[in-house]
Amino acid sequence: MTTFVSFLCIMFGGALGAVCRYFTQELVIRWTKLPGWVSIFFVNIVGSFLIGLAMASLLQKTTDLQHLGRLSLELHTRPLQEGLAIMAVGFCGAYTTFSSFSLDNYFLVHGKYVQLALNMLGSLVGAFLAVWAGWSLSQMVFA
Amino acid sequence: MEKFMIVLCVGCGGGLGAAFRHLIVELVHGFVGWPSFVAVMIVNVLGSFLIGVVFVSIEGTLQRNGKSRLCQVPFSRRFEDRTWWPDGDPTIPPVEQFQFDLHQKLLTAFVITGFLGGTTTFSLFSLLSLNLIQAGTWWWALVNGFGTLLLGLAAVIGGFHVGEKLVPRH
Repeated sequence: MTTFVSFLCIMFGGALGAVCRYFTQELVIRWTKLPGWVSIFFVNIVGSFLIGLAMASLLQKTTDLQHLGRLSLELHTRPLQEGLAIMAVGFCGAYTTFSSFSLDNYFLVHGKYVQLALNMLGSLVGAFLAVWAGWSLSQMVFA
Repeated sequence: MEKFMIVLCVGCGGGLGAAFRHLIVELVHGFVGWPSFVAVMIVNVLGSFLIGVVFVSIEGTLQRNGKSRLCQVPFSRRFEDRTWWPDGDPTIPPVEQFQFDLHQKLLTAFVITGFLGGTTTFSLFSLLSLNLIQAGTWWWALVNGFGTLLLGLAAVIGGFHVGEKLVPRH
């Protein structure tokens, strides 16, 4: 797969992911009436679960993900899978966000320490558990 | 119609942001040769810095009713007293905070929600942390986790200071 096509795939996935994030945030805020940072917390957990699910099912064997930038070189025998993996990186990568998370942390530093601790530790541990759950589930189903 | 324009801006920004992230990961990981969790960390910290700059720049130039805020209350050392500090809950998405001005809203949707939201990522960050633990190097996973969190927070504070310098103040 050429670099150009992989960039197209990632742009398509990224646009879709960003729009989905926008709608998810709106829904969470409108339905739950919780403070705004909960919507980003929710989005990050769900996106981490999805990327664990997607990458484990697409890569089949536990490829060393530390070669993520070279994804296109590793999977060159299976063009469709490679395109899907890159689109998953685009979608889940754009669906979750770190910059708004940091901005929320910054606002919470000013006085709301309990919520700050909940957001920071909860996101870190929760996203890790979510990606692990997605990865294990996918390996159980597709193995 | 307004909703449609916002979604369009978010989509365009998200596509560009994801491509920009892939470009940086390719450069740092594929070209320079550093491990890819370092590349994702660089992307996340850079995006956190830029969100601070952009948030203060957009909030600082216009009031929520669309008027210029060039002549404002005296400068305060406390961030909470400054003009751009959001009313009510500050952690709602920035697009919702700019209720009265469509340009401000669309700019925020494109740059903050779309581009910076698409550039920075939490899922790759946690996926690569899991991968570091699976590879047996759990101390690197700890460094990655807490390092990205604290550097991101520091980058937002730095971005706010830089953004305040950019906004004209009288």
